[in-house]
Amino acid sequence: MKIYLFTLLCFVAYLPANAKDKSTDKKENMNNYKKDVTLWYEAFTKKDAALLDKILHETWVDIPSPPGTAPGPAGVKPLFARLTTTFPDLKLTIEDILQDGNKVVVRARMAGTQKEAFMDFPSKNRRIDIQVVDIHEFKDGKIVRTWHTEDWMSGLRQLGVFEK
Amino acid sequence: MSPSDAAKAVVRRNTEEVQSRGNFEVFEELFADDFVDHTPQPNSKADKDGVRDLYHRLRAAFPDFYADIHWQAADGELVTTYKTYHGTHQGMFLGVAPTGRKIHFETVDVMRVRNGKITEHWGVANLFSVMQQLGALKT
Repeated sequence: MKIYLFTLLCFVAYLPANAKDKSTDKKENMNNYKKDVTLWYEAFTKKDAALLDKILHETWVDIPSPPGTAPGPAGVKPLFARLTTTFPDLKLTIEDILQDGNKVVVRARMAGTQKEAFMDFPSKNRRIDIQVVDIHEFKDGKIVRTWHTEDWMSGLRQLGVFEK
Repeated sequence: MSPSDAAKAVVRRNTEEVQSRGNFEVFEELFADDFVDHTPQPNSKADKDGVRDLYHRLRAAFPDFYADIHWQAADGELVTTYKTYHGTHQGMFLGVAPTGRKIHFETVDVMRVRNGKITEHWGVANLFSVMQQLGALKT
């Protein structure tokens, strides 16, 4: 179970609610990707779960993700709820965005104060502030795949998990 | 070769020849003397010496250490690499005595390549997973 809660942690990208009509050429869509991904991080920071339904491709896959995770927006909902309640002041801050074709790389920081038990570890009211790197792959103007890594070793130290 | 492909090749050489095979002559060739690591590991220096030490420590802890590169992406001078490291735990690592276990962990990093040299690094390694695999995290 513990592993799951950690591997659940992921960051996916966002596409505008007002999807462009199908006549929009591919290049224009690709030019929007860097801008589009920023909105996902805003969604987490602003705790606007409704956005998630609009931003992910129905086949979206999170890598790594726990076995049995549903594809598409439904798969990210438990994570969203968990993170935003455990860390009510959760804030994602983008540090850099890179793009190579249909892949968009985002370096960000994830910060927040632990207010509930996390991975069975009770809250010490400590603040986490860790490095994150996510890569979002687009297809047909939507995110179909996200690879994610977070520096949880530093995070657990910050939360006091290793203190006696 | 395009500039992006050339930059990717520099990073790949480091991953395959230095990290995976322990060829530290190549390390000296590839890393700029004013290299800066923006995400150093705890107790590591954020410069070229720090990275060299880290690579040596990894190879000492996991003598068969190697990387499986899944893909690379480049945006100008900045190269992103998604990879999985593998190794057998035969030396001290993060304070954990050798267990003989085979471990693996994903890492994503971004490196800046300028004039053929690696000048900057940002990365996240899933060391939490390593500690789990080594049985080092008590509940």
